[in-house]
Amino acid sequence: MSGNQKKINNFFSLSTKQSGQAVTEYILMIAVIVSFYAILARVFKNSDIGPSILKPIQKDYANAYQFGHPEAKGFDSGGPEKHPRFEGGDNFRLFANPRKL
Amino acid sequence: MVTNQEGQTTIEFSLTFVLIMLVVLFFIRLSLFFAYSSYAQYATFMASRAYLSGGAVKSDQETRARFVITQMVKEGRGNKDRWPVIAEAAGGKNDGDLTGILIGPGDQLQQEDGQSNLSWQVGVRYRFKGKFHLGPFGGDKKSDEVTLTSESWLGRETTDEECFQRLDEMSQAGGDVSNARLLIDNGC
Repeated sequence: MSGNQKKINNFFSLSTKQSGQAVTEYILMIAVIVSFYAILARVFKNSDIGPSILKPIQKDYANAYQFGHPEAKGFDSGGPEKHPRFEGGDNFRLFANPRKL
Repeated sequence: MVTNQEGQTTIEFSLTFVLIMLVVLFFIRLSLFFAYSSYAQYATFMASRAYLSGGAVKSDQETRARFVITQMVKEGRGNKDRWPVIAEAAGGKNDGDLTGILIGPGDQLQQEDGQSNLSWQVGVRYRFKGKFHLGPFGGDKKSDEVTLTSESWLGRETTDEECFQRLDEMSQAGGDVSNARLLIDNGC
């Protein structure tokens, strides 16, 4: 058997050395975890979970913070409604109207 | 068959760690933002109170209010936000070069000047926004933002300049200026 043939046979023969197995499994497992996370992220991104979590803060809390009522609307947001400084409709004044005194 | 199961906890930990950290960091951020919103409300009120007090001229009142609000929500009294990690000023540059701050009449009163129904809209407004990084739960960039507006419409007392101008007008119109001068109390 020539030297080259011996090398080819050694190359294709089953190796008894298994020190790389853990690393290979680790890489495969990481790939599975990352893929799983990426799929999960895509599903969540399309499902409006985030905006629905923040909605009470973006709308109700923001209105309560600015006007003192979660359903209040200002001039910029199609109001005034339930506005504490404007009269008429469902608005109310916190202070007496000097014109009516 | 592999009997060694030591890696199971590591894998489970890595799967849940991201979600747990997301929830924990979200609530920490939310708490910081709420604390800042309370602080901003106080800052707006303080500035509005400074604006309310009388002065020689109107610009004195504005300068005073600007001094107070920048001292509290800006860094070095410039336009840089004091804690940009927690909240950033939002909105256009309303008052000179200060982002998010309006001192004086509100937008609606500026548009419809002279409307007595809107005469209350004089004071200070500060608008700011916070970003909540929701990771995989977040939608587009804008949906992660919360914008709050702090308003304090305490009004503004007349300045000495306005008072004298008014007295001069009364004098020219033949009014009883001597009596009017007796009414002087904190301006006019």
